[in-house]
Amino acid sequence: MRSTTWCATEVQYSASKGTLRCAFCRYTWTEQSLDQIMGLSDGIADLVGTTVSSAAVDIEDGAALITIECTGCGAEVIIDTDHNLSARCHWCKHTLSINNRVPSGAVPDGILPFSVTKEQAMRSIQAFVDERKTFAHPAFAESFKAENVMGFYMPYMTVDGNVVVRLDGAGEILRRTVRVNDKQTEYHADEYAVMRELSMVVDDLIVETSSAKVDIHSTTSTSNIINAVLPFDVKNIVRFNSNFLGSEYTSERRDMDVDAAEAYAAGHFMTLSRAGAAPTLGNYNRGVRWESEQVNIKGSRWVAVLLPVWLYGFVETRGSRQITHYIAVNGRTGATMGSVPINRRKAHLVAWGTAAIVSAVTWPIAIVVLVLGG
Amino acid sequence: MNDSEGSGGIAFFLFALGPGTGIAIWMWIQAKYRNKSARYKPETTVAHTITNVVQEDKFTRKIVSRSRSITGRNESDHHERARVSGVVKG
Repeated sequence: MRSTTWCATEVQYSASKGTLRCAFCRYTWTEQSLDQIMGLSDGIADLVGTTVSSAAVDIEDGAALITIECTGCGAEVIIDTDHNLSARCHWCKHTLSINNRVPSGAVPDGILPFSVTKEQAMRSIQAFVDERKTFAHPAFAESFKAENVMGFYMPYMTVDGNVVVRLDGAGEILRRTVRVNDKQTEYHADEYAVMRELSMVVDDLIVETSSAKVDIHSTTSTSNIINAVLPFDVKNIVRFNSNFLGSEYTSERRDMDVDAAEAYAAGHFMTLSRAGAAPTLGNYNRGVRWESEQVNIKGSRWVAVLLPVWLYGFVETRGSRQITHYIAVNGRTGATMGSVPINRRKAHLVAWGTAAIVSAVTWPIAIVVLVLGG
Repeated sequence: MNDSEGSGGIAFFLFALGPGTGIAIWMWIQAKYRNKSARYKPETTVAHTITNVVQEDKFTRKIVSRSRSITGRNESDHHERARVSGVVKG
């Protein structure tokens, strides 16, 4: 690959072409595939211990990438100062001030550049909102402008795993049913102690590494939406180059290391094993209750990457509580998911108004049936 | 089943139909607009190979239950963790 460092003072990224271009000499290139450079698809079954990619090093002072803490929502946003001297927070749209610079985290090993353009993302978000207009909160409907969508890179780690998962629980097989009376039935069944142990090779599990967004059960935001646009075509991740951020995109700071992210990866390994064990449980027609899950991570390989997301945010104020609603578009596949705040008064009116109308018809009939049957 | 029980069942259905319709509409609006259950689904999107499965099924006892299925049934809730879960390395 040719370097442009001797002439390039401004390198631009084209999402529609997926290429970097030197504005001075017009040389166009793409970065190397991380999968090929690091051999990330090879030898997963032989992994032993924890392998962390070596490219994750601290950003040096004075580098083009700086991290700024948003005074609006507290997010830590990375911008490329070679291209971008003023930027807004991708979560709350607050204007970022360089006075609030904080220590940077670590540069990632790889980045999956945007291929979905802003115009395409706007169309996807507009279509998503158009399908949800009827019961949308009035403040949301009035302020919604698809052009306010912002592109940013979320920090994740891709994880390859060589794991063994053991599941223990109980299962029941129905043998016969006995009608006790007109209202009650007894189910006679055999109970079994059920154990399954699965060896698995997992390729490119994606684990979030921004602690503020990893809590999907938050009552103050709908950050579960962002992970719902996964997966990404992670085999196309290329070596990190800050020019992919350029003037259009920002990045969320990674604040979770492998130790912190490992529990989430283990949870995903258990999810995979539970799904993998399901076909072996066909005999248990009364179901299985898994009581214990133990994952043995024999070997894992971690690579820090940035993945592209288009995001639209809206803050709903409900009494003293604020809930941030997000609509996200996968920056590679265009997959769209979101949370649209509800006009609760209208929704209540329609739901319970319909209930009242139906009841007004059915209740008199029910009373007649009771009287005649009685 | 005698006539009074049959008419009782029909009456119950008719009484429940209105409130049930309201609850169904409310839940549909919540699901369509808020997408609270949207999540990453590694079980359907991540490439993984199961290389070995060990199975053990030991009969423990006969039971009689009034419930249609086992208490705490969770074999289909892949993303919900079991009561006890642990991680070891190596």
